[in-house]
Amino acid sequence: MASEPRASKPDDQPTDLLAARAGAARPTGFFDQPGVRKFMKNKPAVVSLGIIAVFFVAAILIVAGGDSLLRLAGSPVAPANLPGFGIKPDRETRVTHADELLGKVERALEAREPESALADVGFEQYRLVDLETAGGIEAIEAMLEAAYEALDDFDDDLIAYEDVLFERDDVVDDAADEGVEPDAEVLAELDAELLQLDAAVGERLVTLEERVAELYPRPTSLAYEASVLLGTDRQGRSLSLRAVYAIKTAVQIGVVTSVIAVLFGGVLGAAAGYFGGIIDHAVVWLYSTISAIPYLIWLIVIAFVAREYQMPFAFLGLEEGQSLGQTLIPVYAAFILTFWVGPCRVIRGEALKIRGLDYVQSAVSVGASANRILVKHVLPNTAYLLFINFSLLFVGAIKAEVILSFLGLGVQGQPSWGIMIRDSKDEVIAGFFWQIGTATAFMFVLVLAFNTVSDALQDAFDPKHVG
Amino acid sequence: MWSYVVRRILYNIPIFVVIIVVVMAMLRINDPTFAYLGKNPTPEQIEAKRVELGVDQPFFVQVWDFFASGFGLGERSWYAESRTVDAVVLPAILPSLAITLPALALSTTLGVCIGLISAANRGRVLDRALVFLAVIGMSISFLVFIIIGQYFGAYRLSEWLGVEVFAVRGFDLGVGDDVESPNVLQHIAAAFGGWAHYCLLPVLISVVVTLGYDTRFYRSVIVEQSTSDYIRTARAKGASETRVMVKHLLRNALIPIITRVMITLPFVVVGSLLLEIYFSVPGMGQTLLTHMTNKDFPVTQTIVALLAAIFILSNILTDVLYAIVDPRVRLK
Repeated sequence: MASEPRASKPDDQPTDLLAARAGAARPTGFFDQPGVRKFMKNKPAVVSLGIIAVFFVAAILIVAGGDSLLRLAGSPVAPANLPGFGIKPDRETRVTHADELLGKVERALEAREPESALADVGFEQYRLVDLETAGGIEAIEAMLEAAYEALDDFDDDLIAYEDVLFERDDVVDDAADEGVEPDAEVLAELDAELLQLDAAVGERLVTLEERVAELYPRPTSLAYEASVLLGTDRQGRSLSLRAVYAIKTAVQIGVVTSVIAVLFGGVLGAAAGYFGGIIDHAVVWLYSTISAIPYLIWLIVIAFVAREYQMPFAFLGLEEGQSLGQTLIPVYAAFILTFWVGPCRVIRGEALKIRGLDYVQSAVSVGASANRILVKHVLPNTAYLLFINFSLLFVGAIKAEVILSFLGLGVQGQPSWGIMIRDSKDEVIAGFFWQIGTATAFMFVLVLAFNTVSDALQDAFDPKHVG
Repeated sequence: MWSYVVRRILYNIPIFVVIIVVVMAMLRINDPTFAYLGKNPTPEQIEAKRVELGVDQPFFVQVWDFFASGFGLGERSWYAESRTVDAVVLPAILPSLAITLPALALSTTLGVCIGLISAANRGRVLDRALVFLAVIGMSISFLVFIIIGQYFGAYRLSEWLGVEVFAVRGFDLGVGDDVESPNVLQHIAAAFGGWAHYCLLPVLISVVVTLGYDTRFYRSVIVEQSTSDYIRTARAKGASETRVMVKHLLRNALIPIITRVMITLPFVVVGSLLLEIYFSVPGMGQTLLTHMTNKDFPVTQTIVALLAAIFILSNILTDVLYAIVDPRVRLK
C-alpha cells in the first residue's frame, strides 16, 4: 500500500536511493561489521571457536550427567597404570596385574562369606566371572589354582632366563678382567639360549593371562573400551574419563572467574577513565597496590586463607562451620581478586580515549546522565576489549589452576587437569607418560584454541595490535 | 633526577604499607594459634600461645610492631622456632637469584634475537613457523615442561651418560669444598660448576617456558618499530640491513624491552616458585610456601614486604632507565 503512492511520486526516489545507500554503508547485522568479517575470514580462529564450543557443550553435558559421572571418574576401572590404545605394558607390569587380580580372588575366597565377597571382586565393568556362569565356588577355586600354576611356571622360566643372563654377564666380566675379548662362540651359544628362553617366558605369560582372562572375562562393552582408551592412573582410574570430566572443571573455573573478573575490572576501569578525578585516583591506586606484588603470591595467599575459612553462617548452599576447602570458592576468590587488574587497566585507558570522542560529547549535550553514558556508550565500545580479556583470562585461569593444584591449593574432590598433571609426576619418573600426556593434550587443545581466538580478536578489532 | 626518585619513593610508601596491612589482615582471618598446639589444648594453653605469638594484641598494634621491628626481620620465626626471620629469609635470596637472573638474561637475549629474525622475515614461512611454535609453547603448562624436563634432563641424561650432569634436586654452590688450597679462580670455577650442576637445568626449563611469550612480545615490538618513518629513512640513505636492525631499530625498541625486563624482575623472584619446589632449591618461593602453609606469619609478612619493596624500586628504576636510554624522556 505504502509503495504505491511513492512510486507515483518520482521526486521521492533520490531519498529512497540515499536511504538504500546509507543502509549499505552502515551495516547493522552482527556479521556485517568489519571486525567480525575480518575475524570470520581467519580460518584457524573459526575452527578454534568451534573447538571451544565443543568443550563448552561437553562441560554442559557433564553437568547434566551429574554425580554418577563424578563417581565413575573417581573409581577404578582396570588394573593400575595401564597404557592407552590397548598397548600392552611391559612384562613386569603385566605379571603384577595378573598377580593383583588373582590375589583379589584368593582373598575373597578366604572371606567369611565367599559368595558375596566374590560378587564384589573386580572393577566397574572388568569383573570376576559370574558365579553361576563359572559353575560355583569350586569351579572358581579350580580356575584360581590353574592360574597360580601358570604363574609358578612363568616364575620358573623367568628364573631360568635370568640365570642364563647372569652367566652371560659373568663370561663378559671374566673376559674383561683378563683383558681379552670374550669367546664369541660361547657368547653366541648363550645368546641363542637367551632368545629361546625369552620366547618361552613370553609364552608362559600369555598362558597366565589366558588363565586370568577365564576368571576375569574382558568386557566387550563400548563404555569399557572408552574408559581404558587412554589408560589408567595409579589407582586404576580411567584417564580418559578423568580428563573429560576435567573439561567441566576447567570451563567452570574459566567462565566464572573470567566473566566476573572482566565485568568487575571493566566497570571499574570504565568508571575510572570516564569520570576521572577521585574515582580514577582510587581505582589506579587500588590496582597498583594489587599489582605491586607478583600475582602468584596473591593467588597463593588468597587460596590458602580461603581454604581454611569456615563459614560463619549458612550461605549459597554452604552450611555453617563448613570449611571452604572442599569447594571451588578459594580458587574463584584467588583468581577473581587478582585477575581483574588486567582488564581494568586496559579499559580505563580506552575509556579515557572514548571520553573525548564526539558521540560521547553529543550524548552529554543532549543531557544523558553519566551512568547512562557509561553503560550505553562507553562500555559497549570497549566490548571488543572485554572479549579479548575474557579470552586471555580464561587461558590464565586454566594455567593457574594447574599451578595451584600442584601446590595443593587448587581444586579438591573432582578431577582437573592440574590434579592429573600433579599426580603424574611420580609416574613419569617410572616411565609412565599416559596421565601427563592425556591431561596435557586436553589442556593444550583448549588453551591453543583460546590463544588463537584471542590473537584473531586482537587482529580483527584492535587497531594497535601488530599481527 | 634524585628529587624525582625521592618523590616516587614517598608516593609509593602508602602502597607499600597497604599491601602489608592487607596481607597481615588476610593471614589473620583464620586463627593461627591451633596450628602450634597439640590435640585438645586447654583454654589456658590457647591463651598462653596467643600471648606468645602476639596475636592477642589489637590488629593495628601488630601492624605497628611489624614496622617497628624493622619489617619483622629480628623477630623469631614461628615455624622454624630456633631461627629468627632474617636467618630464614636472607639465605633464600641467593638460590632464587641463581636461577632467575640467568634465566631472565638468557630468555631476554634469545627472545630479542628470535624476535628480530621473525620480524625481519615477517609473513614468510620462517616467521609463521616461529610464531606458531611460540603459541604452542604458550599452550602447554609450565608444570609439564618442568616434569618432562626433569625426567629427561636429570634422570635419563644421567642414566644415559653414566654421570650425573644435572642434579635431580638440591642446591649447593660448593664454594671451597673440593678445592685444596683454594684461590679465587678455583673458587669461581667451583661455584660455577656447582651452579651448572644444580641450576642450569631449571634455568633452561624456565627459558623454554618464557621464550614463547618473550618471542611474541619482542617480535610485535620490533614489527611495530620497523614500520616507522625513521627506519624508512635509514634504509633510504643506504644503511645496510644489519645496521638498520641493530643500530636503528634495536635502540628504539629498547624502551619496551626495558619495561618488560623490569616488570618481570620481581616476578621472576617468585616466578621460579614451581622450579624451586620441584628441584628442592631452598629459594624465596619455596621458603614462602613452606612457611605460609605452616602459618608462620612473621616470615610470610617479611617476604611479602621484601617483594613489594623490590617491585616498587624496580618500577622507579625503570623510569630512570628510560631517561638514560631515551633523551626525550624527562623525569619530572
